[in-house]
Amino acid sequence: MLFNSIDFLVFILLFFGLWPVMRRRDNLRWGYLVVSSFVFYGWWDWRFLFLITASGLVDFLAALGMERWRERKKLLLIGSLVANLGALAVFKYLDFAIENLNGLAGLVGIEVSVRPMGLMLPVGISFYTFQSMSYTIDVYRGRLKATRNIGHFFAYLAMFPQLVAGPIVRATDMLDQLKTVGDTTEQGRFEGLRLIAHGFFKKVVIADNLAPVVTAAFAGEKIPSTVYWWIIMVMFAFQIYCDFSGYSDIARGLGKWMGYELPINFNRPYLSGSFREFWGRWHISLSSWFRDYVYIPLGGSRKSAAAGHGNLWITMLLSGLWHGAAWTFVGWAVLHSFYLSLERLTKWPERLGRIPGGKHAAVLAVFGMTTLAWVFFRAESFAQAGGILGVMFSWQSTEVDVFRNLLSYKALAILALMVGREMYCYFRLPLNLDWGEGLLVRVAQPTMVAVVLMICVYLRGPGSEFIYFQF
Amino acid sequence: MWNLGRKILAERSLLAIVLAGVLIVSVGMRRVDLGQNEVSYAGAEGEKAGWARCADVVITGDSRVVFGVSGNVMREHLGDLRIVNYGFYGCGYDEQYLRAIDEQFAPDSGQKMLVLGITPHSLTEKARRRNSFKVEKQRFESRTTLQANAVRHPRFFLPMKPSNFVRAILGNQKGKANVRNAKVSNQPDKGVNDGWISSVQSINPVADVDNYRFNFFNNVVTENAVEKLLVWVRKWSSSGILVFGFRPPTSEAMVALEEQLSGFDESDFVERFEAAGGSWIEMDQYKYLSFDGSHLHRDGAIAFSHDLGEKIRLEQGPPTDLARKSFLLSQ
Repeated sequence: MLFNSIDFLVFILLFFGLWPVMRRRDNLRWGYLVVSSFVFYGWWDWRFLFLITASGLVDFLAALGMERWRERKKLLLIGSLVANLGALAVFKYLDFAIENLNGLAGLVGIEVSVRPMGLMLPVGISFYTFQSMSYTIDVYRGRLKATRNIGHFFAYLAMFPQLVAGPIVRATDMLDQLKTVGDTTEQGRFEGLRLIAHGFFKKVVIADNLAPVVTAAFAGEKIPSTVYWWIIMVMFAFQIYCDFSGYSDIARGLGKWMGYELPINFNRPYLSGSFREFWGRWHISLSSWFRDYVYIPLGGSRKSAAAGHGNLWITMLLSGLWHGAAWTFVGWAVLHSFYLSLERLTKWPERLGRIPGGKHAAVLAVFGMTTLAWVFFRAESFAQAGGILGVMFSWQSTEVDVFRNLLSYKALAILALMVGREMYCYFRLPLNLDWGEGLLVRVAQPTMVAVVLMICVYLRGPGSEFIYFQF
Repeated sequence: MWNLGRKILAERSLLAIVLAGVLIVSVGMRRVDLGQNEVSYAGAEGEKAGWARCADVVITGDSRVVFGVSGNVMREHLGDLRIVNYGFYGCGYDEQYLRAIDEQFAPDSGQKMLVLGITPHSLTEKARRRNSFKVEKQRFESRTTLQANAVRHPRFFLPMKPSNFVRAILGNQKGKANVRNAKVSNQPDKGVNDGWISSVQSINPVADVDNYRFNFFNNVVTENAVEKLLVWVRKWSSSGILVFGFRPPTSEAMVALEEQLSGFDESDFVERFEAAGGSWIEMDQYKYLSFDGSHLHRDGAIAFSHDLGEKIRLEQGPPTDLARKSFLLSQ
């Protein structure tokens, strides 16, 4: 079920209609959450439910087993990881592997033609698999006590606001929260609605209105204009940011209405002055997952500088593949690994920051380089990415009329709005005004939220799925 | 009442939801870009994308076909056949669209006819790669009963152009209709949706011609696109389907633009089309009323559909038993 659908509106009215009653008792609350979440998830395709149930059961039982048979907990952990990563490998990477195998065999002159399986990719598999894995790993490490209540566990795993596109919540945070009734306050409910309205605005007004222009650019023949492609790529940078962070905002808002706190997933990433900072602000729940469960266990940067770089590259490459089974995602990850390594070696942002205006230049440079990396993320092939980068870096101009036709005024206006918003935040202009507490304020704040919701209805772009669903 | 007011004020989220509802309804009531009987273009195309095994005569192509041909009008000449306009906006003849066309014929059809609207743009790689049919198909498949009903009924909530949004807010009633502000065929359809979208927009015969120049920016008719279409034409004609082709009429300015930029060699295409088993129908390109210099106005489309139906009837020769029966019944 998509957040931006009428089905979801009906679902959420029913859910919150019964929530005040259902949340009072633990088992009832967990059961209600699980059933609702399964309805939400099964709305796409009920067959997906078997996989999430199987995946969850493996981890639930493995964690219980670890506490009962401590001497075999490593074996149980390995079993759980194999089951989780195995499911991910089959559904997400099998066809990619087959295609590469066929290609590789052809290169060395061997006639191999294994047919791709064409399996359907279950929505959000990468998100809930990682969430489930974090539970068993944390129980293995002794950081978490395994829950004995299967409803409690599945309420954590399948909780619908963040099930299909994050934030990836940790069992250490969420299992505890789910133990409580989850009381809400008036302030919390209003904050939740504000986040939901803001999230919808980002998704349906910003991202969905930029999407057609970006899609047309990548579908069409190569337009030989440097300015055109820079504009398109900046548009894509904002499209993906608003698409994904919009989802996270809605998820967090729904969480607040339920009385739970989901972690912040985006913290104005395009205002970062270094790549290290960027990865601390972009998809924070995934970055920290990879940091805690891959990078640090590999040794981090503790052993030597060279090993640190190696671990960084391994982590980033895995992160690239997490996003999708295509070499273009690996290309995107390689570029970011390179940026991070270069930054570690040269410390260029700090050096640049010492000269007047250098900090601003660093932010601009990080944004520009991030935008370049998005070319690989969005392109359908290396050839297309190469062609676009070629145009972006060799000055080519074309008729001004092209822009009039290919870049709609609406999309350009939205781009200007986003750039303006980022500048506003960057120069630390007051984003959340101190409204005080008067009667006028109590009306003005909800009025603003209402206007945003109305704009979401009438100025929304062509409906589309959230980009991160495919991951 | 006072208590209720106080409660609402005390609960800002409730106040925001109530205000949002009031604002949405108010703006929707003041919108100037939709009439009462109109349905969104996207909604109409979404409906079509779900059709299958429903027709005797399938008319295909891009928006020039969508706006230009009414199957219900053609029935006056071809008898009571099931004639559908299966055109899609910006559509190129890509493989998925061709396969879907193939699936439109009803299994019990006694007279299968395919009428391919060929515009230069529909034979370009860009049109094929954009695959606008696929987008509509996906939209159709991903929607649920609730969403399907939402498309049909509360047109009120359809998105607006920013300019119309401002007009709705400010109350300026001089709203501007656009291409998407169109009716699904209602004349003379006897209640049957034939896939035609008629437009009653004000007429400006050169309004959009210049914009179409960019359709051919780095994008011309390719041999690949032509050949892929002809493969299907051979397949259809060898399986007994009558295949017709025509160039959907437009304006003189548009034809001139296409001749100049598209790389479409019509005489060569027609020769190959006929060699593949199709029959080419010459239609007057400039005779019919266009509202924007590219697409036909409703009056032009009705006149054109009459002419097309008549020409196909003449081309087709003596009707088959089923068609004859239907034809006689319709008299």
